[in-house]
Amino acid sequence: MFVLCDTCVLLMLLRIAPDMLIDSRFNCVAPRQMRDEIFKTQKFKEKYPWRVRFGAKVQTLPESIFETVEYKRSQEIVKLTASNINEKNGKPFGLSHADKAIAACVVAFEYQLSTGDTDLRSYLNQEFGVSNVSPLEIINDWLARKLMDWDDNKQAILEDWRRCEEHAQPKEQIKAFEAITGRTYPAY
Amino acid sequence: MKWNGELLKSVCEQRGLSKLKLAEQLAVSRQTVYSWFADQVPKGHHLLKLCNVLGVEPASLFESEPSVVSVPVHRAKSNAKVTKERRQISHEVAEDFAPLFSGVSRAELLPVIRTDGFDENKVRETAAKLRQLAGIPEAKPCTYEHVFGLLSKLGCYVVFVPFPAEVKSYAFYSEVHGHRVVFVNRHSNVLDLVFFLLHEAVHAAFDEQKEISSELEDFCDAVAGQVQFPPEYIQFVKGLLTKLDDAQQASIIKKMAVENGHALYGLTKILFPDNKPLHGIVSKIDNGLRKNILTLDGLFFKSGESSGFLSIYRLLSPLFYSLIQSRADSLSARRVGELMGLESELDAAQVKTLIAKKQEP
Repeated sequence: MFVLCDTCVLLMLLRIAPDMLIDSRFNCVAPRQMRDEIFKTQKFKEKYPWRVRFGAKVQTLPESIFETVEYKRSQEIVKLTASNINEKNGKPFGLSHADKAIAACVVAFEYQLSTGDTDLRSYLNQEFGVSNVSPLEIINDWLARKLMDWDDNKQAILEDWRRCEEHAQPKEQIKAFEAITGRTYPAY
Repeated sequence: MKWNGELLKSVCEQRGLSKLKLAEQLAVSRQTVYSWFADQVPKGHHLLKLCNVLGVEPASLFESEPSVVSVPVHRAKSNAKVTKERRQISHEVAEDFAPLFSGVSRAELLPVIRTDGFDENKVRETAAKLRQLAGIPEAKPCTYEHVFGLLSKLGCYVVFVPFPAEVKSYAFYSEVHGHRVVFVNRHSNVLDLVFFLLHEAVHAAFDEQKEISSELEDFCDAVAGQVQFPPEYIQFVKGLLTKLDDAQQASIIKKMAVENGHALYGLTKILFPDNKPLHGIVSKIDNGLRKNILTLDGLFFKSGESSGFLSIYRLLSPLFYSLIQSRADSLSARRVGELMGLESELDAAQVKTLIAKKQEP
Protein backbone atom coordinates (compact mmCIF):
# COMPACT_ATOMS: atom_id res chain seq x y z
CA MET A 1 0.00 0.00 0.00
CA PHE A 2 1.36 3.42 -0.95
CA VAL A 3 0.80 6.20 1.58
CA LEU A 4 0.85 9.52 -0.26
CA CYS A 5 2.21 12.33 1.88
CA ASP A 6 3.06 14.99 -0.64
CA THR A 7 0.26 17.35 -1.64
CA CYS A 8 1.56 18.08 -5.16
CA VAL A 9 2.15 14.38 -5.87
CA LEU A 10 -1.31 13.49 -4.62
CA LEU A 11 -2.94 16.11 -6.82
CA MET A 12 -1.01 15.07 -9.91
CA LEU A 13 -1.80 11.40 -9.40
CA LEU A 14 -5.48 12.17 -8.81
CA ARG A 15 -5.67 13.72 -12.26
CA ILE A 16 -4.24 10.54 -13.75
CA ALA A 17 -6.31 8.10 -11.69
CA PRO A 18 -9.21 9.96 -10.02
CA ASP A 19 -10.37 6.78 -8.25
CA MET A 20 -7.00 5.90 -6.76
CA LEU A 21 -8.11 6.62 -3.17
CA ILE A 22 -11.51 4.95 -3.41
CA ASP A 23 -10.65 1.91 -5.53
CA SER A 24 -8.54 -0.49 -3.44
CA ARG A 25 -6.88 -1.97 -6.55
CA PHE A 26 -4.78 1.20 -6.81
CA ASN A 27 -3.23 0.46 -3.40
CA CYS A 28 -3.15 4.10 -2.32
CA VAL A 29 -4.05 5.84 0.92
CA ALA A 30 -3.69 9.44 2.09
CA PRO A 31 -3.53 10.84 5.62
CA ARG A 32 -6.20 13.31 6.74
CA GLN A 33 -3.69 16.17 6.76
CA MET A 34 -3.39 15.86 2.97
CA ARG A 35 -7.05 16.70 2.57
CA ASP A 36 -6.70 19.76 4.82
CA GLU A 37 -3.65 20.96 2.91
CA ILE A 38 -5.26 20.47 -0.51
CA PHE A 39 -8.49 22.24 0.25
CA LYS A 40 -7.45 24.89 2.78
CA THR A 41 -4.03 26.12 1.63
CA GLN A 42 -4.17 29.40 -0.27
CA LYS A 43 -1.33 28.43 -2.62
CA PHE A 44 -3.09 25.29 -3.79
CA LYS A 45 -6.35 27.17 -4.29
CA GLU A 46 -4.55 29.40 -6.78
CA LYS A 47 -2.10 26.92 -8.28
CA TYR A 48 -4.54 24.02 -8.71
CA PRO A 49 -8.04 25.54 -9.09
CA TRP A 50 -9.24 22.27 -10.66
CA ARG A 51 -8.61 20.41 -7.40
CA VAL A 52 -12.24 21.01 -6.28
CA ARG A 53 -13.38 18.47 -8.91
CA PHE A 54 -11.77 15.78 -6.78
CA GLY A 55 -13.39 16.72 -3.46
CA ALA A 56 -15.37 13.50 -3.15
CA LYS A 57 -12.45 11.42 -4.40
CA VAL A 58 -10.04 12.43 -1.67
CA GLN A 59 -10.81 9.87 0.98
CA THR A 60 -8.36 9.63 3.82
CA LEU A 61 -7.22 6.98 6.27
CA PRO A 62 -10.07 6.00 8.60
CA GLU A 63 -9.72 7.19 12.19
CA SER A 64 -10.22 3.60 13.38
CA ILE A 65 -6.71 2.58 12.33
CA PHE A 66 -5.28 4.99 14.90
CA GLU A 67 -6.96 2.93 17.60
CA THR A 68 -5.36 -0.37 16.62
CA VAL A 69 -2.78 -2.11 18.79
CA GLU A 70 -0.29 -2.16 15.90
CA TYR A 71 -0.60 1.58 15.39
CA LYS A 72 -0.30 2.37 19.09
CA ARG A 73 2.84 0.27 19.49
CA SER A 74 4.43 1.92 16.44
CA GLN A 75 3.35 5.33 17.62
CA GLU A 76 5.19 4.79 20.88
CA ILE A 77 8.34 3.63 19.11
CA VAL A 78 8.19 6.63 16.78
CA LYS A 79 7.67 8.97 19.74
CA LEU A 80 10.77 7.55 21.43
CA THR A 81 12.99 7.65 18.35
CA ALA A 82 11.76 10.82 16.65
CA SER A 83 14.35 12.93 18.44
CA ASN A 84 17.26 10.64 17.50
CA ILE A 85 20.13 12.20 15.62
CA ASN A 86 19.79 12.38 11.85
CA GLU A 87 23.02 10.74 10.68
CA LYS A 88 22.95 12.87 7.52
CA ASN A 89 23.26 16.22 9.27
CA GLY A 90 24.13 15.39 12.89
CA LYS A 91 21.02 17.15 14.21
CA PRO A 92 17.93 15.68 15.89
CA PHE A 93 15.06 14.92 13.52
CA GLY A 94 12.48 17.72 13.59
CA LEU A 95 9.23 15.95 12.78
CA SER A 96 5.73 17.33 13.21
CA HIS A 97 2.87 15.51 14.92
CA ALA A 98 1.45 14.74 11.48
CA ASP A 99 4.82 13.36 10.31
CA LYS A 100 4.98 11.13 13.38
CA ALA A 101 1.46 9.83 12.79
CA ILE A 102 2.32 9.07 9.17
CA ALA A 103 5.57 7.36 10.21
CA ALA A 104 3.69 5.23 12.76
CA CYS A 105 1.21 4.14 10.04
CA VAL A 106 4.04 3.24 7.68
CA VAL A 107 5.72 1.16 10.41
CA ALA A 108 2.54 -0.45 11.77
CA PHE A 109 0.99 -1.48 8.47
CA GLU A 110 4.15 -1.77 6.34
CA TYR A 111 2.97 0.93 3.97
CA GLN A 112 5.29 2.33 1.34
CA LEU A 113 5.92 6.03 1.73
CA SER A 114 5.78 8.63 -1.01
CA THR A 115 6.80 12.08 0.16
CA GLY A 116 8.95 14.96 -0.97
CA ASP A 117 9.88 15.83 2.60
CA THR A 118 13.52 14.97 3.16
CA ASP A 119 13.30 14.84 6.97
CA LEU A 120 10.47 12.32 7.03
CA ARG A 121 12.19 10.29 4.33
CA SER A 122 15.51 10.32 6.20
CA TYR A 123 13.87 9.38 9.50
CA LEU A 124 11.97 6.39 8.11
CA ASN A 125 14.96 5.26 6.11
CA GLN A 126 17.44 5.55 8.97
CA GLU A 127 15.25 4.15 11.74
CA PHE A 128 13.16 1.58 9.88
CA GLY A 129 14.93 1.00 6.55
CA VAL A 130 11.86 2.29 4.67
CA SER A 131 12.61 3.69 1.21
CA ASN A 132 10.68 6.42 -0.50
CA VAL A 133 8.54 5.62 -3.54
CA SER A 134 8.44 8.11 -6.40
CA PRO A 135 5.09 8.99 -7.99
CA LEU A 136 6.30 7.64 -11.33
CA GLU A 137 6.99 4.30 -9.66
CA ILE A 138 3.37 4.26 -8.52
CA ILE A 139 2.16 4.99 -12.06
CA ASN A 140 4.41 2.25 -13.39
CA ASP A 141 2.90 -0.15 -10.87
CA TRP A 142 -0.63 0.70 -12.05
CA LEU A 143 0.39 0.33 -15.67
CA ALA A 144 2.15 -2.98 -15.04
CA ARG A 145 -0.98 -4.28 -13.35
CA LYS A 146 -3.07 -2.96 -16.27
CA LEU A 147 -5.28 -0.81 -14.06
CA MET A 148 -5.40 1.83 -16.79
CA ASP A 149 -4.39 2.60 -20.34
CA TRP A 150 -1.92 5.31 -21.07
CA ASP A 151 -3.27 7.89 -23.52
CA ASP A 152 -2.55 11.40 -24.78
CA ASN A 153 -4.55 13.01 -21.95
CA LYS A 154 -2.51 11.24 -19.30
CA GLN A 155 0.71 12.04 -21.13
CA ALA A 156 -0.33 15.71 -21.13
CA ILE A 157 -0.85 15.58 -17.35
CA LEU A 158 2.65 14.19 -16.97
CA GLU A 159 3.96 17.07 -19.06
CA ASP A 160 2.22 19.38 -16.62
CA TRP A 161 4.39 18.05 -13.79
CA ARG A 162 7.29 20.15 -14.94
CA ARG A 163 5.15 23.27 -15.17
CA CYS A 164 4.03 22.61 -11.60
CA GLU A 165 7.66 22.28 -10.47
CA GLU A 166 7.27 18.62 -9.50
CA HIS A 167 10.52 16.89 -8.51
CA ALA A 168 12.48 15.05 -11.21
CA GLN A 169 11.74 11.31 -11.22
CA PRO A 170 14.33 8.52 -10.78
CA LYS A 171 16.06 7.44 -13.97
CA GLU A 172 15.21 3.75 -13.58
CA GLN A 173 11.52 4.61 -13.24
CA ILE A 174 11.68 6.80 -16.35
CA LYS A 175 13.19 3.86 -18.24
CA ALA A 176 10.51 1.53 -16.95
CA PHE A 177 7.79 4.02 -17.91
CA GLU A 178 9.12 4.33 -21.45
CA ALA A 179 9.36 0.57 -21.78
CA ILE A 180 5.77 0.03 -20.61
CA THR A 181 4.09 2.86 -22.53
CA GLY A 182 6.34 3.13 -25.57
CA ARG A 183 6.26 6.90 -25.07
CA THR A 184 9.01 9.33 -24.23
CA TYR A 185 8.96 10.66 -20.69
CA PRO A 186 8.71 14.49 -20.78
CA ALA A 187 12.24 15.86 -20.42
CA TYR A 188 13.29 17.91 -17.40
CA MET B 1 12.55 10.08 27.71
CA LYS B 2 16.16 8.94 27.52
CA TRP B 3 17.45 5.54 26.44
CA ASN B 4 19.04 3.63 29.33
CA GLY B 5 21.17 0.61 28.40
CA GLU B 6 21.13 -0.57 32.01
CA LEU B 7 17.37 -1.08 31.83
CA LEU B 8 17.76 -3.34 28.78
CA LYS B 9 20.58 -5.23 30.50
CA SER B 10 18.42 -5.80 33.54
CA VAL B 11 15.43 -7.08 31.48
CA CYS B 12 17.74 -9.47 29.63
CA GLU B 13 19.15 -10.76 32.92
CA GLN B 14 15.65 -11.28 34.32
CA ARG B 15 14.80 -13.38 31.27
CA GLY B 16 18.10 -15.26 31.33
CA LEU B 17 19.00 -13.93 27.88
CA SER B 18 22.70 -13.58 27.11
CA LYS B 19 24.01 -10.92 24.73
CA LEU B 20 24.74 -13.62 22.18
CA LYS B 21 21.27 -15.11 22.41
CA LEU B 22 19.65 -11.69 22.12
CA ALA B 23 21.83 -10.86 19.12
CA GLU B 24 20.80 -14.13 17.45
CA GLN B 25 17.10 -13.58 18.09
CA LEU B 26 17.25 -10.11 16.61
CA ALA B 27 19.62 -11.05 13.77
CA VAL B 28 22.15 -8.40 14.76
CA SER B 29 25.82 -8.58 15.72
CA ARG B 30 26.93 -8.96 19.32
CA GLN B 31 28.67 -5.62 18.91
CA THR B 32 25.31 -3.99 18.24
CA VAL B 33 23.86 -5.42 21.45
CA TYR B 34 26.96 -4.19 23.35
CA SER B 35 26.40 -0.71 21.97
CA TRP B 36 22.78 -0.72 23.23
CA PHE B 37 23.94 -1.76 26.69
CA ALA B 38 26.44 1.10 26.49
CA ASP B 39 23.61 3.63 25.98
CA GLN B 40 23.54 3.75 22.18
CA VAL B 41 19.85 4.21 21.25
CA PRO B 42 18.68 1.30 19.05
CA LYS B 43 17.28 2.08 15.61
CA GLY B 44 13.48 2.13 15.48
CA HIS B 45 13.12 -1.27 13.79
CA HIS B 46 15.48 -2.85 16.34
CA LEU B 47 13.52 -1.32 19.18
CA LEU B 48 10.32 -2.77 17.76
CA LYS B 49 11.90 -6.24 17.57
CA LEU B 50 13.46 -5.87 21.04
CA CYS B 51 10.05 -5.14 22.56
CA ASN B 52 8.47 -8.10 20.77
CA VAL B 53 11.24 -10.51 21.80
CA LEU B 54 11.39 -9.31 25.41
CA GLY B 55 7.64 -8.75 25.76
CA VAL B 56 8.05 -5.26 27.19
CA GLU B 57 6.58 -1.84 26.44
CA PRO B 58 9.03 0.43 24.57
CA ALA B 59 8.89 3.13 27.25
CA SER B 60 10.10 0.67 29.90
CA LEU B 61 13.56 0.74 28.30
CA PHE B 62 13.77 4.53 28.59
CA GLU B 63 14.07 6.69 31.67
CA SER B 64 12.14 9.86 32.40
CA GLU B 65 13.97 13.15 32.30
CA PRO B 66 13.18 16.18 34.45
CA SER B 67 10.90 18.67 32.72
CA VAL B 68 12.66 21.61 31.12
CA VAL B 69 9.45 23.63 31.17
CA SER B 70 8.15 25.60 34.13
CA VAL B 71 5.41 28.10 34.90
CA PRO B 72 2.39 26.90 32.96
CA VAL B 73 -0.80 28.94 32.68
CA HIS B 74 -1.51 30.85 35.87
CA ARG B 75 -4.12 33.32 34.74
CA ALA B 76 -7.31 32.44 32.87
CA LYS B 77 -9.83 34.58 31.01
CA SER B 78 -12.32 36.67 33.03
CA ASN B 79 -14.26 34.28 35.28
CA ALA B 80 -12.48 31.04 34.37
CA LYS B 81 -10.43 29.51 37.16
CA VAL B 82 -6.91 28.16 36.85
CA THR B 83 -7.37 24.44 37.33
CA LYS B 84 -4.90 21.57 37.47
CA GLU B 85 -6.15 20.38 34.09
CA ARG B 86 -5.63 23.81 32.52
CA ARG B 87 -2.09 23.95 33.89
CA GLN B 88 -1.37 20.46 32.60
CA ILE B 89 -2.64 21.19 29.08
CA SER B 90 -0.72 24.45 28.84
CA HIS B 91 2.35 22.64 30.15
CA GLU B 92 1.97 20.15 27.30
CA VAL B 93 1.70 23.01 24.80
CA ALA B 94 5.01 24.39 26.10
CA GLU B 95 6.67 20.95 26.27
CA ASP B 96 6.02 20.46 22.56
CA PHE B 97 8.31 23.41 21.82
CA ALA B 98 11.05 22.38 24.26
CA PRO B 99 13.29 20.47 21.79
CA LEU B 100 13.54 23.60 19.68
CA PHE B 101 15.15 25.50 22.57
CA SER B 102 17.53 22.72 23.54
CA GLY B 103 21.15 23.86 23.26
CA VAL B 104 20.24 27.49 22.50
CA SER B 105 22.43 29.74 24.59
CA ARG B 106 20.69 32.35 26.67
CA ALA B 107 21.42 36.04 26.15
CA GLU B 108 23.93 37.13 28.78
CA LEU B 109 22.18 40.34 29.72
CA LEU B 110 18.43 40.58 29.98
CA PRO B 111 16.47 43.31 31.74
CA VAL B 112 15.32 42.11 35.15
CA ILE B 113 12.92 43.75 37.61
CA ARG B 114 13.67 43.50 41.30
CA THR B 115 11.41 44.98 43.91
CA ASP B 116 11.41 44.86 47.70
CA GLY B 117 7.65 45.22 47.94
CA PHE B 118 4.39 45.27 46.06
CA ASP B 119 2.97 48.62 47.19
CA GLU B 120 1.59 51.44 45.06
CA ASN B 121 5.00 53.15 44.73
CA LYS B 122 6.60 49.94 43.47
CA VAL B 123 3.78 49.53 40.96
CA ARG B 124 4.40 53.06 39.66
CA GLU B 125 8.19 52.60 39.51
CA THR B 126 7.96 49.25 37.72
CA ALA B 127 5.36 50.50 35.25
CA ALA B 128 7.50 53.56 34.46
CA LYS B 129 10.55 51.35 33.79
CA LEU B 130 8.59 49.07 31.48
CA ARG B 131 6.98 51.97 29.62
CA GLN B 132 10.41 53.47 29.07
CA LEU B 133 11.78 50.13 27.84
CA ALA B 134 8.84 49.75 25.45
CA GLY B 135 9.34 53.30 24.13
CA ILE B 136 5.72 54.31 24.74
CA PRO B 137 5.17 58.06 24.26
CA GLU B 138 4.39 59.91 27.48
CA ALA B 139 0.73 59.95 28.57
CA LYS B 140 -0.24 57.60 25.72
CA PRO B 141 -1.73 54.12 26.14
CA CYS B 142 0.32 51.06 25.23
CA THR B 143 -0.62 49.54 21.85
CA TYR B 144 -0.17 45.93 20.77
CA GLU B 145 2.88 46.96 18.71
CA HIS B 146 4.45 48.43 21.87
CA VAL B 147 3.79 45.32 23.92
CA PHE B 148 5.33 42.98 21.35
CA GLY B 149 8.33 45.34 21.17
CA LEU B 150 8.58 45.21 24.97
CA LEU B 151 8.50 41.40 25.02
CA SER B 152 11.31 41.34 22.51
CA LYS B 153 13.40 43.77 24.59
CA LEU B 154 12.82 41.55 27.61
CA GLY B 155 14.35 38.68 25.61
CA CYS B 156 11.03 36.82 25.31
CA TYR B 157 10.43 34.37 22.52
CA VAL B 158 6.80 34.95 21.56
CA VAL B 159 5.14 31.82 20.21
CA PHE B 160 1.78 32.07 18.48
CA VAL B 161 -0.25 28.91 18.78
CA PRO B 162 -3.91 28.04 18.73
CA PHE B 163 -4.60 27.16 22.37
CA PRO B 164 -6.71 24.11 23.12
CA ALA B 165 -10.18 25.33 24.18
CA GLU B 166 -9.65 24.01 27.72
CA VAL B 167 -6.79 26.43 28.40
CA LYS B 168 -9.08 29.49 28.46
CA SER B 169 -6.28 32.02 28.42
CA TYR B 170 -4.97 34.68 26.06
CA ALA B 171 -1.33 34.09 26.85
CA PHE B 172 0.95 32.47 29.37
CA TYR B 173 4.54 32.94 30.34
CA SER B 174 6.85 29.95 30.57
CA GLU B 175 10.49 29.16 31.06
CA VAL B 176 11.71 26.63 28.52
CA HIS B 177 15.32 25.42 28.88
CA GLY B 178 15.86 28.62 30.89
CA HIS B 179 14.56 30.89 28.11
CA ARG B 180 11.76 33.37 28.57
CA VAL B 181 8.90 32.25 26.36
CA VAL B 182 5.44 33.76 26.08
CA PHE B 183 2.81 31.59 24.40
CA VAL B 184 0.01 33.59 22.80
CA ASN B 185 -3.34 32.25 21.68
CA ARG B 186 -3.50 32.74 17.92
CA HIS B 187 -7.26 33.12 17.92
CA SER B 188 -7.17 36.21 20.19
CA ASN B 189 -8.34 39.59 19.01
CA VAL B 190 -5.50 42.10 19.21
CA LEU B 191 -7.88 44.48 21.03
CA ASP B 192 -8.02 42.09 23.99
CA LEU B 193 -4.37 41.15 24.11
CA VAL B 194 -2.50 44.18 25.37
CA PHE B 195 -3.31 43.94 29.09
CA PHE B 196 -2.76 40.17 29.22
CA LEU B 197 0.54 40.36 27.35
CA LEU B 198 1.70 43.13 29.67
CA HIS B 199 0.80 40.95 32.64
CA GLU B 200 2.99 38.16 31.20
CA ALA B 201 5.73 40.68 30.40
CA VAL B 202 5.92 41.61 34.09
CA HIS B 203 6.26 37.94 34.99
CA ALA B 204 9.03 37.58 32.42
CA ALA B 205 10.89 40.59 33.80
CA PHE B 206 10.82 39.00 37.24
CA ASP B 207 12.61 35.89 35.99
CA GLU B 208 9.72 33.98 37.38
CA GLN B 209 9.60 31.66 40.34
CA LYS B 210 7.89 28.31 39.89
CA GLU B 211 5.17 29.13 42.41
CA ILE B 212 3.23 32.32 41.85
CA SER B 213 1.65 34.03 44.85
CA SER B 214 -1.66 35.88 44.63
CA GLU B 215 0.24 38.96 45.85
CA LEU B 216 2.53 38.76 42.81
CA GLU B 217 -0.44 38.19 40.50
CA ASP B 218 -2.11 41.34 41.85
CA PHE B 219 1.15 43.24 41.45
CA CYS B 220 1.49 42.09 37.82
CA ASP B 221 -2.09 43.16 37.15
CA ALA B 222 -1.52 46.57 38.72
CA VAL B 223 1.71 47.14 36.79
CA ALA B 224 0.15 45.93 33.51
CA GLY B 225 -2.76 48.30 34.09
CA GLN B 226 -0.45 51.29 34.59
CA VAL B 227 1.73 50.40 31.62
CA GLN B 228 -1.35 50.22 29.43
CA PHE B 229 -3.08 53.30 30.81
CA PRO B 230 -0.70 55.76 32.52
CA PRO B 231 -2.23 58.05 35.20
CA GLU B 232 -1.83 61.08 32.89
CA TYR B 233 -4.00 59.42 30.23
CA ILE B 234 -6.61 58.45 32.80
CA GLN B 235 -6.74 62.03 34.10
CA PHE B 236 -6.98 63.42 30.59
CA VAL B 237 -9.94 61.17 29.67
CA LYS B 238 -11.59 61.81 33.02
CA GLY B 239 -11.45 65.53 32.27
CA LEU B 240 -13.35 64.98 29.04
CA LEU B 241 -16.17 63.10 30.78
CA THR B 242 -17.28 65.47 33.51
CA LYS B 243 -21.00 66.30 33.66
CA LEU B 244 -21.89 63.88 30.83
CA ASP B 245 -24.47 61.09 30.96
CA ASP B 246 -23.54 57.42 30.44
CA ALA B 247 -24.25 57.41 26.70
CA GLN B 248 -22.20 60.56 26.12
CA GLN B 249 -19.36 59.19 28.26
CA ALA B 250 -19.40 55.92 26.31
CA SER B 251 -19.22 57.88 23.08
CA ILE B 252 -16.13 59.85 24.22
CA ILE B 253 -14.43 56.73 25.58
CA LYS B 254 -15.07 55.00 22.25
CA LYS B 255 -13.45 57.90 20.38
CA MET B 256 -10.36 57.67 22.63
CA ALA B 257 -10.26 53.88 22.32
CA VAL B 258 -10.36 53.94 18.52
CA GLU B 259 -7.73 56.69 18.35
CA ASN B 260 -5.38 54.88 20.72
CA GLY B 261 -6.00 51.24 19.83
CA HIS B 262 -7.47 49.84 23.05
CA ALA B 263 -10.75 48.34 24.23
CA LEU B 264 -13.25 50.49 26.13
CA TYR B 265 -13.97 48.14 29.00
CA GLY B 266 -10.57 48.17 30.74
CA LEU B 267 -10.36 51.94 30.72
CA THR B 268 -13.98 52.35 31.85
CA LYS B 269 -13.41 50.03 34.78
CA ILE B 270 -10.51 52.18 35.92
CA LEU B 271 -12.48 55.41 35.46
CA PHE B 272 -15.82 54.25 36.90
CA PRO B 273 -15.26 51.01 38.82
CA ASP B 274 -18.83 50.90 40.18
CA ASN B 275 -20.89 52.13 37.21
CA LYS B 276 -22.30 48.76 36.06
CA PRO B 277 -24.74 50.23 33.47
CA LEU B 278 -21.84 52.02 31.79
CA HIS B 279 -19.79 48.78 31.86
CA GLY B 280 -22.67 47.10 30.00
CA ILE B 281 -22.80 49.84 27.35
CA VAL B 282 -19.05 49.80 26.66
CA SER B 283 -18.94 45.98 26.54
CA LYS B 284 -21.44 46.09 23.68
CA ILE B 285 -19.36 48.75 21.90
CA ASP B 286 -16.26 46.58 22.38
CA ASN B 287 -18.05 43.66 20.73
CA GLY B 288 -18.78 45.89 17.76
CA LEU B 289 -15.16 47.08 17.59
CA ARG B 290 -13.87 43.49 17.67
CA LYS B 291 -15.71 42.78 14.43
CA ASN B 292 -13.62 45.43 12.68
CA ILE B 293 -10.34 44.64 14.37
CA LEU B 294 -8.32 41.63 13.36
CA THR B 295 -7.54 38.59 15.40
CA LEU B 296 -3.89 37.54 15.33
CA ASP B 297 -4.84 34.90 12.77
CA GLY B 298 -6.44 37.59 10.64
CA LEU B 299 -3.31 39.70 10.93
CA PHE B 300 -0.99 36.84 9.95
CA PHE B 301 -3.03 35.58 7.01
CA LYS B 302 -4.28 38.95 5.78
CA SER B 303 -2.01 38.97 2.72
CA GLY B 304 -2.64 35.30 1.88
CA GLU B 305 1.06 35.10 1.00
CA SER B 306 3.89 33.28 2.76
CA SER B 307 6.13 36.35 2.52
CA GLY B 308 3.45 38.57 4.09
CA PHE B 309 2.94 36.05 6.88
CA LEU B 310 6.67 35.97 7.61
CA SER B 311 6.94 39.77 7.62
CA ILE B 312 4.29 40.05 10.32
CA TYR B 313 5.80 37.15 12.26
CA ARG B 314 9.23 38.72 12.23
CA LEU B 315 7.83 42.06 13.33
CA LEU B 316 5.87 40.67 16.28
CA SER B 317 8.24 37.92 17.33
CA PRO B 318 11.78 38.57 16.08
CA LEU B 319 13.48 36.19 18.52
CA PHE B 320 11.31 33.18 17.79
CA TYR B 321 11.50 33.95 14.06
CA SER B 322 15.31 33.88 14.23
CA LEU B 323 15.22 30.65 16.22
CA ILE B 324 13.09 28.89 13.59
CA GLN B 325 15.33 30.33 10.91
CA SER B 326 18.46 28.94 12.56
CA ARG B 327 16.85 25.49 12.92
CA ALA B 328 14.90 25.34 9.65
CA ASP B 329 17.34 22.98 7.95
CA SER B 330 16.71 20.27 10.53
CA LEU B 331 12.93 20.65 10.72
CA SER B 332 10.44 19.01 8.40
CA ALA B 333 8.20 21.40 6.46
CA ARG B 334 5.17 20.25 8.44
CA ARG B 335 7.04 20.85 11.71
CA VAL B 336 7.85 24.41 10.62
CA GLY B 337 4.15 24.80 9.82
CA GLU B 338 3.20 23.46 13.22
CA LEU B 339 5.68 25.62 15.14
CA MET B 340 4.54 28.74 13.32
CA GLY B 341 0.86 27.78 13.53
CA LEU B 342 0.16 27.68 9.78
CA GLU B 343 -2.79 25.33 10.19
CA SER B 344 -2.86 24.52 6.44
CA GLU B 345 -3.61 28.16 5.58
CA LEU B 346 -0.27 28.49 3.82
CA ASP B 347 2.02 25.97 2.17
CA ALA B 348 4.44 24.90 4.91
CA ALA B 349 7.07 23.82 2.36
CA GLN B 350 7.06 27.30 0.82
CA VAL B 351 7.27 28.98 4.24
CA LYS B 352 10.19 26.73 5.19
CA THR B 353 12.01 27.52 1.94
CA LEU B 354 11.54 31.26 2.42
CA ILE B 355 12.62 31.29 6.05
CA ALA B 356 15.61 29.04 5.39
CA LYS B 357 16.89 31.41 2.69
CA LYS B 358 17.73 33.77 5.54
CA GLN B 359 16.51 36.72 3.54
CA GLU B 360 14.42 39.39 5.13
CA PRO B 361 10.79 38.81 4.13
